[in-house]
Amino acid sequence: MNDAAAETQEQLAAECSALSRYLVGRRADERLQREYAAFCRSRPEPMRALGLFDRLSLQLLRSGLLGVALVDAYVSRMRRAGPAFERLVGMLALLECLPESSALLDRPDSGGPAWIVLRLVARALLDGVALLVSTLVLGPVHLVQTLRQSREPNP
Amino acid sequence: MSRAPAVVVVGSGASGVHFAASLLEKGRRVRMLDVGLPRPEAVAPTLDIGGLKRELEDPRSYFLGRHFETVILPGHEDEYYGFPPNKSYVFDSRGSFEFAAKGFAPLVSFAAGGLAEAWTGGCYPFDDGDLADFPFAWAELEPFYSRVAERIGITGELDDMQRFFPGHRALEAPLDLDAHSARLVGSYERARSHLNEKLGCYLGRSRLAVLSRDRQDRKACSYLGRCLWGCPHDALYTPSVGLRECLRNPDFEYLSGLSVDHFRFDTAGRVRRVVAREVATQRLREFEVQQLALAAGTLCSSKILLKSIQLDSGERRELSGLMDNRQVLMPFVNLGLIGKSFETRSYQYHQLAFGLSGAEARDRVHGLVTTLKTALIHPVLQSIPASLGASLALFRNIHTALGLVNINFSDQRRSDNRLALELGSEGGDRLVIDYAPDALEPERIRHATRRLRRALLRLGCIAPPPMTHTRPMGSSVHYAGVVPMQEQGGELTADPLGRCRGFENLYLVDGITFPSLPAKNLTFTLMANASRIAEQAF
Repeated sequence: MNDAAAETQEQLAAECSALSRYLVGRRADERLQREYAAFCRSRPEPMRALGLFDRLSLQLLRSGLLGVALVDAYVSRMRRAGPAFERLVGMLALLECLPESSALLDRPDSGGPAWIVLRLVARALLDGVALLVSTLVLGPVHLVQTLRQSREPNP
Repeated sequence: MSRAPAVVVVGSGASGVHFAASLLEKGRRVRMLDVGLPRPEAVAPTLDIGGLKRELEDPRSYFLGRHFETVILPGHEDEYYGFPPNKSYVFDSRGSFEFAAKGFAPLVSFAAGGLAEAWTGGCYPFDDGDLADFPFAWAELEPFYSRVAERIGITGELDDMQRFFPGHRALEAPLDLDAHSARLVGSYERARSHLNEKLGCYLGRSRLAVLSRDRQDRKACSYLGRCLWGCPHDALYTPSVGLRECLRNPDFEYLSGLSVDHFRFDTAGRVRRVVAREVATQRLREFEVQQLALAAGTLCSSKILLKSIQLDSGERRELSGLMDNRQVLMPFVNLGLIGKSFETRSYQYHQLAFGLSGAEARDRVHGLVTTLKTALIHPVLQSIPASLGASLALFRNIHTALGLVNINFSDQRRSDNRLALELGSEGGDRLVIDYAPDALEPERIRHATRRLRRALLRLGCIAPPPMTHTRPMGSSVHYAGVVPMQEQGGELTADPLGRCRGFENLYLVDGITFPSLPAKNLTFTLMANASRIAEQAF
C-alpha cells in the first residue's frame, strides 16, 4: 500500500465531491470518485512528505465549498506546485473527459453580454476577497512550511 | 525483394516517403530502413468527440492516458497544450536518441511516418523570395509541389495569401469554415484595405493536407471534432498514409525495428554498407548499399553522418548552421463571440493563415489562426494566474471566442548553431546541440506581435500581451540547414540534387540541406524537394 492510499476512501470521496460541486455545481458520482482516487494515487508525492501547509490545504479541500474556494484562491497563485492545486487541476481534467460533466464546462451563462460581463466582474471581486481572506488564514502557515523546508538539509 | 540492388532510404517521415514514392513511380526498387513505431488503430472511428465521451467504456484513459500521463499539471507552463495519449508513440524515444542541448529543445520521432504524424497539415509552398538561398527557383520546384498535392490531397483557396504562398495544381475545394473562423473572415473583408495598406497584414484560408472529398481508401473530413486525437479516416494526410501506399508496391521493401547507426564508405567516398541496430535486440545488422538516401530528419541524419565520418577517420566533426522557426503563440478573444455556444462538429486545427509583409522575404512573418473548439481546457486554465474557479467561470463564457495565433519567424544559418557528437552514456553517442538566436530576434518579435495585435483589434479581437508566449527554440520541429545545398560548395555541403559532397552515392533528402528557412511550415517543401531529387538524380 503506498502513502497516497493512506488517505482513506472517505477522505478522497469528500474531497472529490467538494471539488466537483465547486467546479461544475454537481455532486460526484461513483465513476468520478473512482477516477479521482486513481488520479490522487498516481501522484508521486507521498503524503508523509507533505509539509504542514500542504496537509492543511488538503484538509480544507475536504471541508466543503468554502474551504475549496479559499484554498483555490491561495494555491493558484502562491503554491501552484503543491498537491492541492494539482488536485484541482486533475479534477478539472477528469470533469472535461467524462460525459456527465464535460458539457457543463462549456455552457455559457444565460443573459446578454452586459449581464455576463457584470457576473464575471462580480466573480472576479469575489475571487479577490477570497484571496485576501485566504492569505490571512493560510499565508502564515505557508510561511512556516517554507521556512522549515529551507532549513532542512538537501538530500 | 530478391532483386538487388535497391536504393536504400533511411527514415519514413515526410521526406523519406515522398522520395520513395517518386522512385517507385519511376520503376526503381526501394528498401526503407526505419525504427517505425506503429500508429495505434483508430478507436471507434464513426463516433464524434461527444460520442467518444459517451460511448467509450473508459473515456478517461482515451483522453488523459492510462496513468494520467497527459494531464498538464502546474510546472508545464511552457506550452498551452500537450499531445494526447494516442499520439505518444510519435515521441517515444525507444530509438535511444541521446542529446545534450543548449538553447534548443529538440524533438525527434521514431514513429512510422515520423514527426509529421503529429502535424496539423499546413502545406505552404516556398516562393522565389523564400528560395533565394537555394540553388534552384520556384519554377523548378512547382511541378513537384503539384505532384505531391496530387498524391496527398490539399484543400485551400487562391486568396490574399497567394502573395505569400504561390499556387500549384491540384488544389481542392476548402473545408467548411467553423463559425469563429468564418466571422474572422467576414471582419477581414470589411477591414481589408486598412489591414493590407497600413499594417501589411493579410488573411486567407489555410492550405491543408485534408480531404474535402473521398479519395481511394481515405474519406473526406466528416467534422467529427477529434482531429487532435488523430483523424480516424485519414482525411488528414500523414506520412504513414504515404507509407501504406508504398507498401502496396512490390518494388518496395520496408524493414522496421531498425535504428540506423552509421554507414561505411571506401576511399573513393562510395558508401558500401549501412549499419543498423535492431531496436528489440540491440544486435547490429549490415545492409549493402548502391545508393543511400538519408531522410531521418535533420538531427538523426546529422548524427548518422557524423558517426560515419568519425568511425572512418577518427575525426570528430561538427555541422554548423542549424535552423528552426521561432514560434510565438498569441491567444486572443473575439469580443463578438463572448457568451456564445460553439459547435463541436468542425475541423479542429487552423483553417486560416495570415502573413505580415516585410522589406525582404526573410522579414516576412507567417502564421496560423486556430479557433478553440474541442481541445482540452485544463492546460490553458491551469496556466492562468487566477483561481481555477474564477478562470473556469470566465472560460465558460469565452470558450467560443478564444483563438490562438501561431506566429512563425524565419531563420538563417549561423556558424555558432552547431551539431557535434560526443560519447554518451553506456558507450553510446550523444548529439550535442548548441543554438543561440540572433541578437535582433527580440526586436523582430516585438515588432511583429505589435502589428498583429493591432490587426486583431481591427478584427474585433483582443490579444492580452501577458498571454503571448515565445516557445523555446526547437519546439516548431522545423529543423534544417547543417549540410546546405549550394551550387558550388566545400566539404559537408550538398549539390543541388542533394548529393553530399565528398561522397559519390550519398543523398540527403530531408531538411538538412535547406540553406535558409523562411517563416513557413517546411513539410510541404520537404516532400516536394525529396520528390525533385528522386526525379532528377535517379
